[in-house]
Amino acid sequence: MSEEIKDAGKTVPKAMIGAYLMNGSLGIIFLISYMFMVTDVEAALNDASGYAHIWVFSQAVGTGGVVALNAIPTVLIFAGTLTYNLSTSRQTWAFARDRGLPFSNWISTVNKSIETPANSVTVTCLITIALSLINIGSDVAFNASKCYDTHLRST
Amino acid sequence: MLSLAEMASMAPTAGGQYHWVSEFSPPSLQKPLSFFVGWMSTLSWQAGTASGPFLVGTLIQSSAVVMYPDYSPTKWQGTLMVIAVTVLVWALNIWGTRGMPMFQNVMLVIHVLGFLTIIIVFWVLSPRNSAEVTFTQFTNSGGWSSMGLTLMVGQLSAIYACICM
Repeated sequence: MSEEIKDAGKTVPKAMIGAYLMNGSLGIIFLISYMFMVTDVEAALNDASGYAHIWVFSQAVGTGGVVALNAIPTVLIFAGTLTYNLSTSRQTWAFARDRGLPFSNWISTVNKSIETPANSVTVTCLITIALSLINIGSDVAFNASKCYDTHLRST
Repeated sequence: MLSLAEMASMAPTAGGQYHWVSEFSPPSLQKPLSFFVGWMSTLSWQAGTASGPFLVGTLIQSSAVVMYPDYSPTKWQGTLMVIAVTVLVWALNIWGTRGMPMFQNVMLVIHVLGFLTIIIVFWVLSPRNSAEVTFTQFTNSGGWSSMGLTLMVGQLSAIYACICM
């Protein structure tokens, strides 16, 4: 995203280090608290929802409370997803601009009326949809992403 | 982390790593190295970014499981939810980028408040382990051959969290 930011040479590294320190310290507080609250690891891993943190929430609050608490990471990860997708589209766009990818011409086209590399956003979303199909057939693929449990993602 | 920030300061480009590799490698190797790194990071970004809608989609599904105990979730329903989220992300990232800075600031507030909400609920309402269990008990339930290996595999979670920042 660096090319769309004012005074990027200063702003970008500051933002990187700031995010690292802030999320790192919030993360460690959260992680230690979470470790205290996982009173039964096996039960948490085998929760019907497929997510261990749902089990941990359900030890503290009732059904409505679990859904309300679960909405917090859902909304935050959605916000994180937006920026992640945006950064990915810009990285892909930059590599296409340097003719590194197949169909580079099309991917690197910037839509003039909205001043956005819209084609690159579209490619990124299509790849995401293609990868989401793995989930239909496999139990193990993507399981690594459950590890977000320990951490509320940065926005 | 610091060296990445340093390079981002020297050459703040949208390309990132492959651009820096090109700047720092000997002239004869510039093209092949930077091409290789470019592909590596494009594939990594693409694979990584797919985990976002996956989490959001399946988290919505998990809320449904909690709310309606009779509902037995299937994987294709999860995938449909992931696709719906992706379409929303697509629309917002094409037509909604003007509102993005404002949206992210609001999300920062929700981030801090949400963090406090969950941590307070944890501290006040949740049953808890003893400090001994929390800090000294290690379990290897993944079937890996040694505790050391388990620990290394567990680092994936921490790395994932770092990547997402």
